[in-house]
Amino acid sequence: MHEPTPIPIHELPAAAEEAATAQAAPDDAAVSSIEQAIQVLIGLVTLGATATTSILRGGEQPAPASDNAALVTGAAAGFVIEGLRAAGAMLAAFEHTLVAPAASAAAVAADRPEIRELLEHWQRSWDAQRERSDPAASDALRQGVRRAADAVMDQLDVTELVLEHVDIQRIAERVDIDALVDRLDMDRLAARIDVDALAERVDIGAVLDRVDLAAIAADVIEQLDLPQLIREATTDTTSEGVRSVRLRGVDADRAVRRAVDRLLARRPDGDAHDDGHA
Amino acid sequence: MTTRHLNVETIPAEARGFHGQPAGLVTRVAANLIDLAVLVVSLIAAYLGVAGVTFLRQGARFTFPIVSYPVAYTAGFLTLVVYFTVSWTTNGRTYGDRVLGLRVRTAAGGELGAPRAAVRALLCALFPLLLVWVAFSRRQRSVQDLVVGTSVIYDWGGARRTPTSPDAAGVAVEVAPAVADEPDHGDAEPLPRLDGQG
Repeated sequence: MHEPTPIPIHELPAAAEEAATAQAAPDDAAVSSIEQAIQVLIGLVTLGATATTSILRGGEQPAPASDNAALVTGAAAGFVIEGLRAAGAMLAAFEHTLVAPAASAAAVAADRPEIRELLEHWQRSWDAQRERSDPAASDALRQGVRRAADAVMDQLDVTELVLEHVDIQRIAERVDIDALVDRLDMDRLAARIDVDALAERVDIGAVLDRVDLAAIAADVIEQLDLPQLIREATTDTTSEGVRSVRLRGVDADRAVRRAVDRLLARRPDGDAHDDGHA
Repeated sequence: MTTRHLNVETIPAEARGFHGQPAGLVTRVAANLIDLAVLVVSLIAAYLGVAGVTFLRQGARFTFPIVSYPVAYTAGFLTLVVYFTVSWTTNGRTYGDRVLGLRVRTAAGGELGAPRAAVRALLCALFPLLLVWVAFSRRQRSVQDLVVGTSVIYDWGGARRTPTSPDAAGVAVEVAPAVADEPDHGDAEPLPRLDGQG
């Protein structure tokens, strides 16, 4: 069997990107997390706006913003985005001024033994509760996701989707047909083929039409030198009567020979070993 | 050019078992009796021919010519010798041999030359009873055979060929893929092509 060929879905320089984020992270983790949150929110708003616009247009291709509904949606989205940006700036300022001192204060407080003991007690109870709750929560989550996925799949004609959006030809080009064929039991496959039915569908006449039978026959006859053959085979008068006479003659020869052999007390198989001076 | 040799059997199936083996007394005696009949018929025909010519020349005075015994025997003897010699030299067999499916060969299996055939014919015509030795010879040879070094074999084939050669029982046929390059064999007329070319 062949090793499965890895099929890269996107030619993304994933490793390089990871390295870049890893380097940027330690500089100002808090600020970048807030910016990321803002970016996510803006993205969600944009997505919602696009969805709303397309729903209002009834699934048609997005045209230049000619209709009022799309205009209103776009405007609303823009307003929310600008608000979010402003909130982001405010949050960043708030973080610079408040979060850093609060964190350092918490660190100082955690160093004190009684506070540390209290914190550890809370930590333990949280851990204990989490052990019990985690499986139930993940089960519930899993079932919910499955139900949601089922609901989505019910709405989608996956086959149609694949046919529309997947380049099957390109996939087929990458499939290792040899490996597939290796796994087939050709004998069983052949046993399932009805050769007679196949043969019935073959137009023998059409095949023969394409064969130059006359030329083949002429070749064979020329190669056999048939006239010479016929001449040699028929010069003799080998009618039935003649054959019968000859066979009787041969039998009589043998009978005479046996009799003489017996008379002379000779072994009957001495034909080729003597020159006749017996 | 590759030339394949195709052996086509022309010997009847029932004769292939003993083809080429030495012939026995009965068939050879029978063949000689047929030859004797041929001789008698030939002599009668010759006599009638002579009588006819005499009748044409003598007309009403014609009487059948009277042939003395010495003349008759001499004529018969000479006719038999010539008949045997010509038959064995040309085809290896007299008419009697042919009817019985026999052929005269040298002891080595080759064809008879004219001198050997003539000596054998003389001996057979002079001492026909020596043929009886066939019954006692281990290789079924008559005294004449032993003297001139010949043997008589079963051969039901029609054409003259050497029975001890590898294709003894068949006809060697030249089979060539490119027939156009093949020189014509013997006097065989080329077949008309069925596809109309040439």
